[in-house]
Amino acid sequence: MSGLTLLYTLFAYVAIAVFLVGFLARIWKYATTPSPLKIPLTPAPVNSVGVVYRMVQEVGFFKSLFYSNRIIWIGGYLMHIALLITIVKHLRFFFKTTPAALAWITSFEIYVGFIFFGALAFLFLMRLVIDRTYYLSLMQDYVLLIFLMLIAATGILTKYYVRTDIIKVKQFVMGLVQFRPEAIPGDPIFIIHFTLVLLLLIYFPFSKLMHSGGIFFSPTRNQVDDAREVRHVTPWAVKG
Amino acid sequence: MKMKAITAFLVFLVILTLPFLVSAVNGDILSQAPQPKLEKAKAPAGVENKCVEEVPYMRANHMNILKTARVQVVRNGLREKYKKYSLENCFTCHRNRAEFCDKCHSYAGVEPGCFGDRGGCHYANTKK
Repeated sequence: MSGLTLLYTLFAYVAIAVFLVGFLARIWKYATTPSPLKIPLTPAPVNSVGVVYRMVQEVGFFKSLFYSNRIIWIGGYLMHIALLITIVKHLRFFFKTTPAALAWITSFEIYVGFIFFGALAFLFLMRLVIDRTYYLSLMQDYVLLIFLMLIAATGILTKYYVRTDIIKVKQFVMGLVQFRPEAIPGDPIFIIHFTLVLLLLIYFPFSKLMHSGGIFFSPTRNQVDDAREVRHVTPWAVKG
Repeated sequence: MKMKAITAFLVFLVILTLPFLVSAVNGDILSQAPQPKLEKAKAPAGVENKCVEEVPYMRANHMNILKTARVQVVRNGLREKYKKYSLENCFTCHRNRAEFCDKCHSYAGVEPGCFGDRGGCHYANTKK
């Protein structure tokens, strides 16, 4: 095993461990945080089926954003859809046999990386151009956008311009997944892409990217509006 | 309350570790690395018996070469210039689609765009 392979195998496992433990610890924290008050944002659903419908609209279509800022919705929605498709397409490197449905999706060439990069650049620009968002933007907002743009750019490079041998990539990734390390492909662009992704995984649980799990725990969206029908008691408020 | 938290935790745990779980169930893949089979044609006397480009380069870039050749030949009519990159030329050694192309392509989950069953132009020269 070469030094580079050893380095990246260790690096990858550290990154995955930090990501998994960090992400799950955050989820545990969100899930166990008491919500002492009923605060669903009205008009709110009055039963749990309605809540599911509301969450689907919120997670699937960013409804609140749609009704508050159409321009940013377009950029943000495009970015998220492109990200979803990109992740789905990458799954073929992580599973032994590519499921037929996955192969089918993968077979469409829709230049999703360029859409992803474009949407990110648009969102970056929006932060700078609109006075209010410029004032609201923190360093982490810019850093994350640049980070994702770099990942997209190196991904585009490996896919369309400086190709790498993807059979070797799959062998390497499957080696990681099966805990039997394989040699890492030596192409610099692939290594940069991979490094950036691992760094992102490490940063993920500490960043605002946790909204990916956190959105499901928003009390204003996931509560049923039945304050008058059912008495809302927080467990810790019950007298022993 | 506690039940809900545990359920949420487990749902995220399963989603995030899916690749590890699936491959634990599926078992060994590394030993199943694709072994594409070549049936090398005899090169005419005086011509070196090898691929049109270096092998590692071909592994990574053959699709771009084929695409460029297609565009240059079909749209710009440069058939002579790109003759060595014609699919017919490939077929002299890489004869069997199932034994050669599909070995890696199905492993990587990518469909070759050459053949008729996916909107490509060519008949597979052998049965699938």
